[in-house]
Amino acid sequence: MKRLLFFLLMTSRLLAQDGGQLYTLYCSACHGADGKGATGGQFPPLANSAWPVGNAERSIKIVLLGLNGPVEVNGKTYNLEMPPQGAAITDENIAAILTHVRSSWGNKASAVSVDQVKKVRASLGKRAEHWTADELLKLHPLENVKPPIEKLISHYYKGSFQKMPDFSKLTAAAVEEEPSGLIDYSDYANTDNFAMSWDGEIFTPAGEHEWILDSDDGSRLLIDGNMIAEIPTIGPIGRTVRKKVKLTQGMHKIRLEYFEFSGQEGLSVGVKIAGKPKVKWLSKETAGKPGKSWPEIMLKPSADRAVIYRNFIQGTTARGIGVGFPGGVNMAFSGDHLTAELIWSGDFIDAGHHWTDRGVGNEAPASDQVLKASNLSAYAFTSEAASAWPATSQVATRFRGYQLDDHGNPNFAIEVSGLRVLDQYRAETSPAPTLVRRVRLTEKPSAPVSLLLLNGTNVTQVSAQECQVGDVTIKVEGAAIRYANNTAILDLKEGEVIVRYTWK
Amino acid sequence: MMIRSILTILLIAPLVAAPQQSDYYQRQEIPLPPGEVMEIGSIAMLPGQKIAVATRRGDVWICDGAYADDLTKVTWKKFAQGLHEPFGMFWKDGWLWMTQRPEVSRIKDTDGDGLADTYETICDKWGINGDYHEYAFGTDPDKEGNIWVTLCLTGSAGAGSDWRGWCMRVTPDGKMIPTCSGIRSPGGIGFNAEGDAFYCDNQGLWNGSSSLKWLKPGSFQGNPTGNKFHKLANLPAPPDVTSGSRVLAERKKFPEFIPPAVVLPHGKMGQSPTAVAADTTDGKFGPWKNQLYIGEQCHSQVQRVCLEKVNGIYQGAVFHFLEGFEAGLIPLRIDPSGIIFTGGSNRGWASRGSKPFTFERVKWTGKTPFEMLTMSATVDGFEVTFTEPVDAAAAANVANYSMDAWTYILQSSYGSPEVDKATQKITAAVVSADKMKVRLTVDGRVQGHVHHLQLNNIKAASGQEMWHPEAYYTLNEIPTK
Repeated sequence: MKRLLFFLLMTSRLLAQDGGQLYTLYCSACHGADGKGATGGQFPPLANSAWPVGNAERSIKIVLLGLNGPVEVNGKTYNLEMPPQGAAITDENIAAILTHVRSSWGNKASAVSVDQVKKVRASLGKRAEHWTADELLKLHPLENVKPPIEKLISHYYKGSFQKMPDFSKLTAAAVEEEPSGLIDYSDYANTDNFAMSWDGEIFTPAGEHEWILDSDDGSRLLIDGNMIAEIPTIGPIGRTVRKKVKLTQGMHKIRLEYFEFSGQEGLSVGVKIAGKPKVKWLSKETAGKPGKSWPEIMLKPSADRAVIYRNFIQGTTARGIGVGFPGGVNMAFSGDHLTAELIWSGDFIDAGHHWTDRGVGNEAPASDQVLKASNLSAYAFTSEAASAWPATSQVATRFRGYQLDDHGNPNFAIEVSGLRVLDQYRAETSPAPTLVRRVRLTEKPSAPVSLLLLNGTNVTQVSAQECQVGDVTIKVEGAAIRYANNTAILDLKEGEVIVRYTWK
Repeated sequence: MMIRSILTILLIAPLVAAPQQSDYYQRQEIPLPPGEVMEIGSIAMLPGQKIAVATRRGDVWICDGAYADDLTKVTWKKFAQGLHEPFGMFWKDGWLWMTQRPEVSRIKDTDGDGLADTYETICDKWGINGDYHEYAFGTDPDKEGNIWVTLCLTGSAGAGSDWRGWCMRVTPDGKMIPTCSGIRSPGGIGFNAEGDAFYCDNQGLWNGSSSLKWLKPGSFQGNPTGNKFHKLANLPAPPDVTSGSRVLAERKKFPEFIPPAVVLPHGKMGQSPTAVAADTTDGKFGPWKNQLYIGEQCHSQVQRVCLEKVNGIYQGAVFHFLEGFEAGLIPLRIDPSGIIFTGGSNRGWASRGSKPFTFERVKWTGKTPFEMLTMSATVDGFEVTFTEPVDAAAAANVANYSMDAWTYILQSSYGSPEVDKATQKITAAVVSADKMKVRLTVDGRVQGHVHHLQLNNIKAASGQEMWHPEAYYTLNEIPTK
């Protein structure tokens, strides 16, 4: 019987006006036959959502051109891409589908006419880009849904701040209306050296409500002009401040100030209304999950074996090979530049981002203290690197992979000008956490080659065998460090060079 | 008594008549290691009836017992971790070769402790820039030992890194040979029985519907986004096709434009095709010898394709085949003993199968469904062969057939409606003496169109009903003799 039904569905021409069948064909794979979002809600629901009801122009625009990037529906953030359907579905069918969606699963909104779709299509002209949720919400705010913070305005300031600046003396680099009503700094490309402030209004019932603030680096929360919570210094997430404040019923002014110096960043603010069980988050980030709307899957080495993470790691190239060693020593080797470009201590990396949804973007090391050792191809002829490291080297290189020892420590194999270089890494934990690297040139090179140890960072020269970067001391045996304009270079000979990176 | 008999007939008749997948094929889930997220992207067959799978999270596990009748005794051992989303893996001479996002590699356990310790990079000469959509899908070795790799466009829409939108051949010693241009977003790649390479490209920009495409060396596949990379290897510029045109019109201008061999009409025959695998079981999986199976991620299905070459161009028909898999299918392996192993994931792209990931096998029960075995183009129509003798009276009645056809716009925007619709008239249906074929004379066929053939009321001579009475034939070329 099921087959018969299927047969009938496939053979009776899809009636142009049958929105339900068209919905099944074009939409249900992702939004679910029941409108609740396919596969247990991994995709945005259309049932009981404010998005498809209200002003139909919003939905017509999404169907025509698609939607890309984060979108919040009923308190959950989805970061997917809906492909544009305007070229695939006729205006008649779009009207039928949207009419179906707006009148199904408890949704009660007016029908969409073919004329409405035609008008919206004409108004878009040659535009082909996907919409973003923010852009659409500015044009067509969700109806009857109050944002967490109303009338929210953000100010963005550039500068190297190590404590909260006096905002009255700064000039904003950008001012934005935030229709989402959520505290969110992530729309700004810079993730270092900035400060922001947000001002808006929030409704509370009468009672003593608990405010929750956490940030990396500092932040300050003011309600009705009174500072109620502060994280004054540079530091990581986890320094949560909670403060109960008695308020009357009604609208209250809310102001949040924030600065980020360097490294990781994060900001979460929420309020637990008296008598309610859950915290209402006023920021895109929520406590304990800085910068993320995905579950944490922190990768950890075992007691005696390193763990490898090959993926897109922020701060190195796309061919990143992260290695987390026992004892909290970590690195990311660039398969393009052929060296450990990132070195850090503490936790290794959170794979939750790449291992859920589509895995969009780069993942930063799970540490605030990352040494970015270099950012150029690491091998060059010594003659090319006489005074500065060449942006593009003449040395032919080829990555040949890696061998793991019994503890999972990698020994990378690289061809440099036809010679084999082995670059082995392992960790020591006492007396101090140390990354030990052995670079071995198996033959004498016909023309001398050099290895880029550090560039683009403030090197403190100690000697030809030692230098310092931030809280990392680098000691070299078997070669001398050659310094050139904040660059540290090792001129290689046949044999082994040992480099030790030690944290204070 | 009379009433009861009629009732019995009414109740039983539909049960007897309606063919079910389980009559012909047994689909079984293979138990996975408990607690592990096994989003399977690759399957490789190892000696001793072991199977290696690679997951989207970058683990390789080895499964023992997947061939046994009792699947509860399956055991798993983790072999490797930390790989970058391998799509395409095979075993050769003691090594597991694989196509990872950034490279073709091979890995091995040299010290015999059960864990891979040697990870050799064979070729990493294509570009990646960190975009999540820059997938790479690789094949088994071809007759020369080369691995064919299709490189998805950046964000499935751009050419942000070198060689995006191209198919490359990688030689065993790591050379990379640019082979085809015009690719959008592959979901899988494989060979037909003759050894020609095919891949599935997904509906999107410059791709009106998903389809199975023939990777003829030197060919252009339809999406010009990655054309500029020809300069990297001093190759001739691929066709600068015109948006709003049709595949047929453009390939008449540009002979290197090879049309999709078989269009998989969007929504009707899946909407996210993946693996390509030829039935090399020599009849152990049913009568589909040398036909192709296509994995389908969104609809959690396997489609069946028969191909023929007309005027040097591949074309053919796609039929519904297997369905009801537990998640979106990605890789598909056919064991010569007559078992399909498949698996997949719906992470990031939803599927009808509602589990987040799955590993399954399908065996033939030995009962052959009554189906169209092949559909091929003739000078004046189509010839359909059957899996068993057909009820000749029904099959000779032209009223029991209907046909309509359409094509898609070749355009820079996403997808296409079905356009240029036409309805064909079946003017004659001649059944062969052995009742194994029917030759249809068809008025109004359109070159370049997908021709949808619907059979109604046509049963086997034995009375068996047809399991899937429709086919979609892509008529790139019309035979002249």
